[in-house]
Amino acid sequence: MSGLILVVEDDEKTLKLLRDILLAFSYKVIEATDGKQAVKQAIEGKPDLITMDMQLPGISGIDATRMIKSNPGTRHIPIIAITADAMKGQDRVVIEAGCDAHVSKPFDIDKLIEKISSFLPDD
Amino acid sequence: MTIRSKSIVAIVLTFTCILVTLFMICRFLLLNNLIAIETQNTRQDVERIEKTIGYITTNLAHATADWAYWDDTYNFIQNKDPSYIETNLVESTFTDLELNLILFIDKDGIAVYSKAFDLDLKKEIQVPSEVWTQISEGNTLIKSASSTSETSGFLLVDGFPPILLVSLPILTSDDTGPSQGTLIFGRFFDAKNLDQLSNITSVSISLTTYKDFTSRNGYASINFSAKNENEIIIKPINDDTITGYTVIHDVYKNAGLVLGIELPRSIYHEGQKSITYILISISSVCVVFGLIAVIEAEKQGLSRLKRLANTVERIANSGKISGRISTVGKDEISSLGANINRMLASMQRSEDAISERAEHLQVAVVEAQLANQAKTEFLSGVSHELRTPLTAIIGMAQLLQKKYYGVLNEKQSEYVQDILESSSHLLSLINDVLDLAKIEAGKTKLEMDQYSIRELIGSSVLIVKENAVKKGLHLTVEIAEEILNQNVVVDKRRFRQIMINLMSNSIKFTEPGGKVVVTAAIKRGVLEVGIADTGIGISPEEQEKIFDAFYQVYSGTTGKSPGTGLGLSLAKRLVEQHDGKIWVESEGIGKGSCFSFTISLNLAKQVSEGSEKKALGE
Repeated sequence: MSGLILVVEDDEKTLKLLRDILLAFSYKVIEATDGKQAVKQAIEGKPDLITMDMQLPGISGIDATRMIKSNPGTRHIPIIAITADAMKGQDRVVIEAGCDAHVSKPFDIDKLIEKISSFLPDD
Repeated sequence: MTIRSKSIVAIVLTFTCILVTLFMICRFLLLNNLIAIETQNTRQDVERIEKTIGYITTNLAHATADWAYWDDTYNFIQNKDPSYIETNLVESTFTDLELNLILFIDKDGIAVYSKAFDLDLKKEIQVPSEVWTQISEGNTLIKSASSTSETSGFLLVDGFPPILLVSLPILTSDDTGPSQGTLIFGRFFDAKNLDQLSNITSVSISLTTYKDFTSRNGYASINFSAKNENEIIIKPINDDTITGYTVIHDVYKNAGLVLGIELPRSIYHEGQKSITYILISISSVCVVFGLIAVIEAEKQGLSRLKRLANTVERIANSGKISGRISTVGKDEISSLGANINRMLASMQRSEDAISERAEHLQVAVVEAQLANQAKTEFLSGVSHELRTPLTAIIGMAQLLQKKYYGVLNEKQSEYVQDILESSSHLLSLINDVLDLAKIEAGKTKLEMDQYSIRELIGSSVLIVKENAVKKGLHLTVEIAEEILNQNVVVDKRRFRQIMINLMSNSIKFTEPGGKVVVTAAIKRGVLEVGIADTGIGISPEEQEKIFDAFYQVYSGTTGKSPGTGLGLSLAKRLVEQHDGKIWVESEGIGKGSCFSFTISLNLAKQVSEGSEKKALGE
């Protein structure tokens, strides 16, 4: 498997976990720890996919998603929302914001990889 | 009976009593007094007539005396000189003296001269023969030589009116004797004389012989007592006439005649008239005073009472205790009104206090709701915050388990497995606590839709089927034939949660080889779902607490993964959200148990609306 994935996550341990998982599955990883960085990395790093934590300091994950999706240069990048909020209807909110898929914390590694690989088919 | 009618009756009764009493007083005191006066007057009249007759007798006696005590008469009775008769005893003597009878009797008792004369016819008539009989017999009329006394009175002769007689001895002009004979003058006391007497005295007079009077029927009730010679009897004969009677003695001092008078009862009439006038006047006064009393009572009391009653009724009907009664004056009614006002004011204060308390309660309720909401938000926040570290724990443990960083030894693998199981348990707890908090805060909104009963139950069973089979249990489903194709309106996710919670419990507490039977049927108009097992059963004490939060059935068997203690509690809340009931039946430890719950079939829409209201925090 290959591909460049932007991981947006403010929690250090979770960021580390995601990074390790993705590296273990042979993806390349760039990182951002807040919304502003996320938008910047999406433009500059040109990732193939973004995993976006929704609860971010400053610009929230939802706002960052909207910015990325409203930018013609980054619009095509699939975004998988990762939420810790178990509130019902959260998935609908993130899909409306422009996310392409939704995974809630805590997540099962296999299921996460399954979702990512569905957006990044092997060349 | 209203007070108005009562007071009118009382007034009428009072005045009627006054009238009756007055009538009695007038009738028996006044009228009796008047009757006494009337009797007295009549008696006086009788006496007056009696006296008048006596006066007439005296006059006649004087006339007789003029002739008896006269020398010419003295000589005549002795020498019987006819010239005396020719000169003196002419017709004019009879007419002037109104005499009907003149008798000259000498000392030997021989009538020297006798003549009877009819004054109306102006002619001589025969001297009644009975007169001669009586004179010869009655010595009192014949005067002896020594006699100087006068005898006068009535002589009763059959066939003639009573004759008023005066008999005198004949003496000289200087009243010296001896007496040479007797001179008798007589006057017929006939109807003409009675009329005269009536005219003089203005009294209707009758003169009846005692014999006739006592034998006549009409006077049967009148009895003169023999002893009292001067007795006067007064007797009203009717309302118009009163009569009086007395006995008049004849010349022999015997009861000879009865003098009767008749008088109109003018005093009695006047009395009766007066009584009538008095009664009419008093009646009028009573009526006037009665009317005034009624009007005054109406004005002062009744109409005000009525107004008071109306006002109180209006206040009572409207329920507006802020209303007040107008009080004028200082009487009992005003005082009643004032007291009602005080009562109303007191009620007003109570109501104000109640509404103030209600406001406080409202505030308290809102505060409690806010606190509950804050709790939910806190739990929601905690849940979120807990998930983040849990994500790292679970994910990293999974990475270790998947051996990406090398093979683990046996102990390491065991610990990683334990970490994953504990994390999973912790996650369940977090999820259930959050669910419960949301339900209790009314924050969950049911997503009601129509589903087939068979599909709902089937899909729920499918989720746990694998676990059951893995444990070696027989999991069967029995849906009543008539509802196989029936739909029910529920929140699918919630319904499944109920089913899974109940079935998971059954699987967990039933030993391998046991049975779990899921049934569904319509009972009493509701869908009743039952999950029965052959598991460890539940004691009666535990059955009471089993739906409480965090209650866990004691399990003697080790090695079972612990539950959250919230599954049944959640199931109960969810069933209640569907307007259903949940209960457990178990014959005791070791005898299996059966959890049942109901779902309303036709109130789906209402359930939806009801929970929407809850969701809005109402």
